[in-house]
Amino acid sequence: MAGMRTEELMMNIGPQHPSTHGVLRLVVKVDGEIITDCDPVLGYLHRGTEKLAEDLQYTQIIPYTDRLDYVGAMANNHALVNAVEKAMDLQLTDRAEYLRVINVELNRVASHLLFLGTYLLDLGAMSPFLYAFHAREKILDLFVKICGARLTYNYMRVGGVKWDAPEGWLDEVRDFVKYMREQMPMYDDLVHGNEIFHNRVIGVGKMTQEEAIAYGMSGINLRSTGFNWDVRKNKPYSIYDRFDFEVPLGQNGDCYDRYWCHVREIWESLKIVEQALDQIEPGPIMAKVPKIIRVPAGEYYAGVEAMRGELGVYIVSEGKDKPYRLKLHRPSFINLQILPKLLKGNLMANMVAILGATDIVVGEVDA
Amino acid sequence: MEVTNNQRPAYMEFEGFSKEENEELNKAGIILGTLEQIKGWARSNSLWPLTFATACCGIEMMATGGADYDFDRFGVIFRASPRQADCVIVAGTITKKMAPVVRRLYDQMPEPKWVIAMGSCATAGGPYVRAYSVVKGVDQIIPVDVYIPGCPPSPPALMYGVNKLQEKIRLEAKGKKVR
Amino acid sequence: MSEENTKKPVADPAKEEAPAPVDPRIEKATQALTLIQDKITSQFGEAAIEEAGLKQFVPTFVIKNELYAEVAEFLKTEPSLLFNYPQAMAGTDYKDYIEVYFLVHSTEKGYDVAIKARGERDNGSVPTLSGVYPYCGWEEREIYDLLGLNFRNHPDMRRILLQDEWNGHPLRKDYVVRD
Repeated sequence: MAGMRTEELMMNIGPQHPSTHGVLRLVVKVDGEIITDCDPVLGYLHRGTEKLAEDLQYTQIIPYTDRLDYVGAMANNHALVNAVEKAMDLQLTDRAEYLRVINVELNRVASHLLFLGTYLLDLGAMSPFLYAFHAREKILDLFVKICGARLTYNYMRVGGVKWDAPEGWLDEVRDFVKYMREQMPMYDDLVHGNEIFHNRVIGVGKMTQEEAIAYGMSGINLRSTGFNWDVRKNKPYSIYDRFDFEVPLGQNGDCYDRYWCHVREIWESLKIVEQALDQIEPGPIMAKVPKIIRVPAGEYYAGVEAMRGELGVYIVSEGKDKPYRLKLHRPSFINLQILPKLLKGNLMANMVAILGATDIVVGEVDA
Repeated sequence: MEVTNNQRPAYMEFEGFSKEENEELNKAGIILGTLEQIKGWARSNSLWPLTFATACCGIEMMATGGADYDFDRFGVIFRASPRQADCVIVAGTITKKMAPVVRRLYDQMPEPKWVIAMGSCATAGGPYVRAYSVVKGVDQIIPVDVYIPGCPPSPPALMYGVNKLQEKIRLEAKGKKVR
Repeated sequence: MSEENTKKPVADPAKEEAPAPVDPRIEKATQALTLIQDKITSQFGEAAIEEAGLKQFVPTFVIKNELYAEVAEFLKTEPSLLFNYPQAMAGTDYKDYIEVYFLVHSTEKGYDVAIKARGERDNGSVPTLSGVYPYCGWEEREIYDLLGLNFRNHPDMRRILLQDEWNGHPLRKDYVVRD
């Protein structure tokens, strides 16, 4: 076998591929089964949100933010209205803040459930997908009752929220929290202790803290390396300082830590929802805002903790009702940048595990 | 790009016969016509779509395939490779960068094939119709059979659309062209 | 909560006529502004900073084009500043120039600073920051793609979101959407 010539093969994965989580294309160079280089090609879903936003009033941009990270649309709404409110220095009513927090945290549970389902589906397990989506349907039913949509809510407005909770909605949320708390140990039993799962994710795709910080990562990808950074705690916004919750941290920055952080965050979000349900009082849901929202001239940046990291909005305003420039700091775009570095030297099968654990949503990568 | 519907003529085309013989056979419809109807019934009840989810509509497609709104009971199993797929459900916005890929996937699918355009982005550009990089409707690239409106269409709407496609397959098997 | 005089982005609170209470956020931010400004000018000279001010409680500096990368490196490594966590990067098309905005946070000291650099609209360029912060690699590619501003010494300067053959830079104010 001496003298056998081996060559590198350049392989194209995607954009249509069951495990690329949307239209992402990876051009990988493989030597046998080992990846030597990887070049993600983005832009297959670039829809020009930032350019469209320059022609729209702030309230009209809110539905477009839904479609960025379409799995966690409530947090996207929150990012935009939070940035505008901080720029205008608006004070919101309590009930609006509590409703926002309840909806965002419920959406976080739904998004993490979707992550669990699809990540395990990528790794080969079919049942967790069905369980996760079944629980997710219950959350989507709650959202349909409050704002009429399952996926793209368009729920928040500058100054508050659009619709109040209907009769009995808060009790249904409480029932759901109880139901979810009973179901979570069952989901854990499905995967924890499973040797195949452990072999596929433990020690795969390790990151160090310094790397993650230098790459500007945020969210679970950063917290899995052990660095304690949660926008809700480090740069507080809204009323998150009234709740008592922990921030789950990993140790190694590998895929298992990221999976585990997702599971723990579901528990923490349920805690926040319960505390919010205890504290919420009846009242108005919209502050006094002018009919046409005008942001004073200047430059503003504000970020919220979206499901995948810190979703920031940078507004350059000339004082008109439309932004001069609206730039979105998109966590999936930034978390994806480290992928070539993580994949070098890994096996092809690990590519699926690492890409899945980075938890990207291509609508957010491309905007 | 050619977008003519020249793959599906209005009359049933039997292999190996000329056009005049085909028309003759179409008129005599007892045995061969029933065979075509059986084939149409079989094809409609086991539609295997290609997993082609671009954006938000893809999540609703996944939810329809999930446990609450089961797609499997219609015989719909999602296939990853276009060579093994019957139809493609185009779910999500198609950008100009993605357009050649869509065309190539459609060409790779074997006959007979159908296309469902799911959601308003695939139908006509959707909320992004004024964007610089969006194709205003996937029917500018591939011929579409069923359009499902919505942003995103909820799972019952998607199932209704798939049912409409099944009806269309059965009607076309009887020799009537459905627009 | 909203007192009018505390909202102005580049106001000096001590110069207001009425004895209005100074917003503690502005005080804290002004202290940070003077601290960072002194450090930068003592290292690079007065000409390095073209404009300095507070934009919504964030010290913002417009740095001279040629010194952009060195100032960023200095901000990251200087022991009393230690700005290590990049938060945002954006490009904006003003009428005469294109401006790059970069917001960076210090996890040790707990405050932010924003540094900006300006480049010409036609064939302008700005030094790359990707040697200092790997985060900037793709963000700068996006600014190049959508605005047309080149980045000197960037390891991989090519389009990222649009096709390589795309003509023009869409986010510019004079871009005409062609179909």
